[in-house]
Amino acid sequence: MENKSYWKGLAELEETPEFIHERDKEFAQELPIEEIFNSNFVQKPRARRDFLKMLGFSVTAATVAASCKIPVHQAIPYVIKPEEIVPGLANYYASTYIDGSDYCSILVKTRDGRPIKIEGNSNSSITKGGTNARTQASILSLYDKARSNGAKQGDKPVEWAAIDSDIKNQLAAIKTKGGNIRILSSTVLSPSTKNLIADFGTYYGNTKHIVFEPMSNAGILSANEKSFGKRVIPGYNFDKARVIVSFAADFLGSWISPIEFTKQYVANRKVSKEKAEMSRHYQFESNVSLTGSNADKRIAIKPSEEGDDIIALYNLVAGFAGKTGISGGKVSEKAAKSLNKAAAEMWANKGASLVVSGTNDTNSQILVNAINDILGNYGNTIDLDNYSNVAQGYDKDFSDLLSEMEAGSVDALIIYNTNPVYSFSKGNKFGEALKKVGLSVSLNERNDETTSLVKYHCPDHHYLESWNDAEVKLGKYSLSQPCINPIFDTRQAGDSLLKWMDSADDYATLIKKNWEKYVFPTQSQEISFQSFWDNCVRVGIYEKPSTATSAIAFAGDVNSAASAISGKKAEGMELVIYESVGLGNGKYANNPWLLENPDPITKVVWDTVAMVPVPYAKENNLVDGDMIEVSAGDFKLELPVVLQPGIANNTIAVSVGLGREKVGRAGNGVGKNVYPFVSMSGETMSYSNSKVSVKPTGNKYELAITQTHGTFEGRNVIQETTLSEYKKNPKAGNESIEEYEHLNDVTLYPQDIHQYNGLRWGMNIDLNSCIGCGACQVACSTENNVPVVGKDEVRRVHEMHWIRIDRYYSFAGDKERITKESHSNAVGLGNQYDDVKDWEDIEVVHQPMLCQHCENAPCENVCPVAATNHSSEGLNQMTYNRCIGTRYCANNCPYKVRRFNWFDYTTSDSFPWNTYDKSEGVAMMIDDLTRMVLNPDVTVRSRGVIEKCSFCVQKLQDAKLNAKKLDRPLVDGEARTACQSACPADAIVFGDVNNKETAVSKTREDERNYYVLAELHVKPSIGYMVKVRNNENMA
Amino acid sequence: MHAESAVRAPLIYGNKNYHQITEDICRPIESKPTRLYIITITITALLMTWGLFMIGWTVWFGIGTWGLNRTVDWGWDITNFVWWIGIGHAGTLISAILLLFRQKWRMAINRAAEAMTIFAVICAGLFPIFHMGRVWLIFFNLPYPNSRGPLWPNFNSPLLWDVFAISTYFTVSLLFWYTGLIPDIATVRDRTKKKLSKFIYGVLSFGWTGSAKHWQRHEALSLVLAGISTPLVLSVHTIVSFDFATSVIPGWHTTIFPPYFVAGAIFSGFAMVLTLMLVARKVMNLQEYITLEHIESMNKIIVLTGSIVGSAYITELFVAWYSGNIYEQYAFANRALGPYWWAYWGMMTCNVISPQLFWVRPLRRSVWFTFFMSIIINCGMWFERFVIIVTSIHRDFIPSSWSYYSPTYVEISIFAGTVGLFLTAFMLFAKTMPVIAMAETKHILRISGDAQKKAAAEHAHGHQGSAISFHKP
Repeated sequence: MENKSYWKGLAELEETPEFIHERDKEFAQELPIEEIFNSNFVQKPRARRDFLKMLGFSVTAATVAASCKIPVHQAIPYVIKPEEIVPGLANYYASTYIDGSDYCSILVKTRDGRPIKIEGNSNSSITKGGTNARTQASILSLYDKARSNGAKQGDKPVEWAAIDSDIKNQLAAIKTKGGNIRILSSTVLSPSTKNLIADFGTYYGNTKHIVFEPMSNAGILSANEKSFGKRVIPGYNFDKARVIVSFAADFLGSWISPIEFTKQYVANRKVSKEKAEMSRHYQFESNVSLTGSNADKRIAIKPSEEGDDIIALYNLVAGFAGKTGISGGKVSEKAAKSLNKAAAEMWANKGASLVVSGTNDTNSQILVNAINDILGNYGNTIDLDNYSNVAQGYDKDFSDLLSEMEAGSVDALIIYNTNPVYSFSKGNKFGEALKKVGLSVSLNERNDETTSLVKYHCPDHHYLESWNDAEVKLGKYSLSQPCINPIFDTRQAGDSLLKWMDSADDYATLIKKNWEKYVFPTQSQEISFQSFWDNCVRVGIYEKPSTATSAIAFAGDVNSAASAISGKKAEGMELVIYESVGLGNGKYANNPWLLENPDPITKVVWDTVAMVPVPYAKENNLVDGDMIEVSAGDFKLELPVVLQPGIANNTIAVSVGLGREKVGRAGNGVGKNVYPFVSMSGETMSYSNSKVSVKPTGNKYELAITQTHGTFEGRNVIQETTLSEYKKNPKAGNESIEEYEHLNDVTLYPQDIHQYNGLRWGMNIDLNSCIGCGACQVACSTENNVPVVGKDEVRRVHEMHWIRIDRYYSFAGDKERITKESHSNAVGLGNQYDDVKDWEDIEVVHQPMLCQHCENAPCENVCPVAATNHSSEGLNQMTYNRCIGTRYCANNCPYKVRRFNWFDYTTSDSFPWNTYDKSEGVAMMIDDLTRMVLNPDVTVRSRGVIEKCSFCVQKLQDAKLNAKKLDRPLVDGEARTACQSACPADAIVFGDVNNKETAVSKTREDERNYYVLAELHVKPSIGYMVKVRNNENMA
Repeated sequence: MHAESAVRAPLIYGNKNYHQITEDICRPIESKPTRLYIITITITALLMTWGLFMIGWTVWFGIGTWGLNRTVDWGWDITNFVWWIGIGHAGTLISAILLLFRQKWRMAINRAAEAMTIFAVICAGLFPIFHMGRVWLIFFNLPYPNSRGPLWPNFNSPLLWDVFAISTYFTVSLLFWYTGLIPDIATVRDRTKKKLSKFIYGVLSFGWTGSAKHWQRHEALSLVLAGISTPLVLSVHTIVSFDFATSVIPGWHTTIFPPYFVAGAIFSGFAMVLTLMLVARKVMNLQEYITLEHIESMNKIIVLTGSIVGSAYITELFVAWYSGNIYEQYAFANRALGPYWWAYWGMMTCNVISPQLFWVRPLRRSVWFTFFMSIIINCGMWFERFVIIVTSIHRDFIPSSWSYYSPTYVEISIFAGTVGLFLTAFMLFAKTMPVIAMAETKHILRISGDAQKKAAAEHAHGHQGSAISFHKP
């Protein structure tokens, strides 16, 4: 076949140079490369045919660009993994919360090396696994930026070595000249520190250790010295007392050892069909204390009447015993009636009764001792042999120190964990005297009011960074161990003292040596010290058996004591100073969790208020928040009032704990310092003042109060009965339940919409046990990252607590109670309380209120996006990332437990510049250090979503997974909510209600079990136990 | 075209012919804006801008800038929402139900009332959107297939029903209004001499030529849309009332709510139509089209719906007492005597007592009195929504959580902003579109114009001479 060649044109045939040039090119047309990279390219008009090209290029480019990997942040694993730390798993370390007189045996939960939660240690026979608000909140103080960072000389940061040599030189000089060295501290519970201080004294000579407690119980110490020759705080056994008479001792809230006493007290307050008995509790007090609010009978007395009331009780009891009485003044008719009943009941329960008094007056305490002695309570409900080591403050020592300092005879003063410039009534005087001390050193953790006046500041560790030990009661030892490396450049106080003594040991070694020397020999279980020590560190405690009680002989002079306290007259108003249940003596005034934890009685947060009697307020036309001026001597203070039912007429009460000037960002300038109202009476400080004048100033102030309506309007919110009714009929107080059950049975809708095949969570809260202390609130905030919102936001009713404690008042003895609308300010017109005569005689009930996890939840069906829904285990769960924030669920919640993130309280997801910086709380909780306290298992909620109690679902999941790993069913009590664990009163029971054997299922069978607002047929998962009051025949 | 009784008052005065109607109604569009107009629209536009800024403020900083709290989670936001939605109802009622009932007097007011509906629904819609804590996730409300499971919205929630109800309502109202506008826009297009106007109106008129086929389709579509709108008049506010009625809150959980809300909506809607039309009629010189007969007819509807609302209030009180439910009883005692007593008594005075004055004919026909009353009723209906929403929840079941709510400047500004938006939109509408339906008015000229009626009467009674004479308004 002939190989024909075809040509397409003449050019090809002729093979012109142009043609060859064109033929050899890969692309017929020039690629517009120059053009594309020319900056004018974008502006140039495009040809229509380029459209597809451009489209193709853009899409491809976008696809390639979008599929590029964004940088991955690698979590680098440990090269050498610490033995105990598994990322994502929590470790618990036994430790002890010790801060002055505050004590609690605890477990510290740490995640990836940082402590995030405190739980009670149930091994301790003292606190038995209970905690209080302060213990729970102490973890936040660890991350407090206001703690000092590094040693300081004056205002100048210095090296530790430099400061040590400086101090040592000066101490040596003082030693040479035989000068006086004084160590001033709060109560020291640590036997090792006590030894160390003694050794320090031996080393330098002329050293004295003075203990100062701002809320002192020195009266008890001296009364016991005078009565029995033992200067101790005795051990009290409220669990053995069937009749308790307390003269203003707030033993559940702030007196001596509240967690221990709460545990003991509630043991006798729980009732059941099997044990239909409970203790009787009379409380004679002026203010309304937490303890008073739980008493069966509260008798409001003025502080000036207390002495005569104690004398009257002595005379009544002495009369039963056939002893001669002592002379005393007249007591009020109301008090006399109750004193008669109380004396008779105590006499009938000799050896099982208990009289306590919160006063710091030695003579009153001597009489209280005498009464207890006659009643045979020593050795039973009071134990002088197994005494307590808390509250060792001895006021006379402190006033002596002050005069020494003023005289210039103190050469060195070492201040350890106490702040008298703030918490002593004449703090200024102390501050002045401090200038006369040659060498003043503070070991306090922060640059507080006192520390800022000393020459050297060697800041102490936080207790969670320290080794320490404690002997809270005789032979009951416990250990603190560090759970994190020191966050700041601080040094443990003990180490500082050891350094100055040129000791080679560090404090941890010292503790170990001490235990080896003193504690180890007293036991026989462990053979080697190391195993004994390891075991003690693991369980956190070592307890020797209690010493047998020895016979005692009362040697007090009742007559002279009586004459000293009898017949006090007061004209006009009297003032009572009490310790705040949450904030304590003021050391924790920079802790936002405590600042925002409502006062159990007034429900005020972030402020110091004056409780005033309602009649006084009516006379002067005062409402909550109006200002009054209180003056005593030359000290004046303007305070906002809270109208307080139950406070004694002509009495006002203020609590210490706020008004700090140098404590940190959250606490500075919050509230007022009321310590200057404290006066010295003889050798002890007195916390009442009958020479005050009070006058309204006409100024107004906006308080931040979380509950403004104090009655429950007779609704099915609170159900209560009396013990004798309960004995007759276990259903007493809960009669309406049948009607509700009947009503709920007649429904058109299907009854069992949810099937629970496995677990079904439920809770029960015993209103008889709950004392209203608020520990659960702080525990909940800690566990669930609940934000602090600050004073302004609480004023705007924006508080975020998932669990709150509702406090309701009723008039004592009145069958109708204060539940009728005519009695309350339900109707906003006119003056509502006109028909109420006796404002002193009230009863109080505390009710923890949290999400009820309704089976028929009204919140669930109204959410347009199903962000709140029902789990297969009966939880009403909240899906934060689905929530769009319509807030209909919050409106439709009958219990009002849903909380909306009005602002970006946590700065969890916003740009830094759109945080509405209106509140102190917001500013407090957002820095990187403070955020270390957040629980990584719980989402931090963003702005605009609803949140609420989840029954600590993360803990439930954890318990379930744990059981699964161990290949066994979940054991009852294994899954515990934060509120339940924190409760010192064991008021909360939680568990699986599908299993009939669990504790919570059994409570549901109980006749006392009722559901709040059961008639709504929302089927809550939380039952409450009817409150039983043992209050008949008490007056 | 059917005949009408001679004793029935004419609906158009001034011996109008078709051309005059066109001239009268197109005059405001074709003349230059007056100084008064410019000043007023500047003020309303500034108000609107301020309100929109405050909405932005809310989105930026959070709902915390409002006065709501832990107990009262809805306040002015939802009050304003329900109030605006209610106002919108008059437009739909006039155009749909009165159309089906062949009420010819609606011709003079339906265009403006429908426009008002559109603007009111826009204002209303802003509140549920921007009351959300996380408005950027608003699409979670929409049922569309998604990659989240798929995760659907909760069809049990009345808030979701709201989404459908309001969006349907807005769409249908807009279509209905625009369909009616097309022939009139074409008229304006044909008259205008300016090139730009001609272009714009030309586009907007969709090529309307007025052919018989166009008219036939237009009529058919109007009737279909009227048919769709009619149930909406009842359903939209019924569903809005479900936002409350399906809850458990005493004062919300009430079966009477749907009819009560619908009546209230029409009541407030007519009041708002009157407020606007009395001003428009005066300023735009339309007294011959919007006559005292129109005003009187509307006032009659106000008496009717006002009385229904009043009966509902009394029924609620009775039921609260009769139910024996302590929460319900308390809720109503608290409304009347609690801290928000002023809102309750404001509502009772404005909505129950004052409309009854319209039984008196001279008051019904008094322009000034009607204007005054229309304002009173709008205030009263705002109070009603506030009473229902806020006083019910501020003190519900658990007394520990009772609280008080008052709005912040942000909420007040947003409300003022929606008023500005509404008025600005209405004024723009009045300047650019025929506020009276020209074509429809021309339909009724032959039977309801005064001259035509007179002629017809004379024709019928020619040999007896005319005994009938009409007063010009």
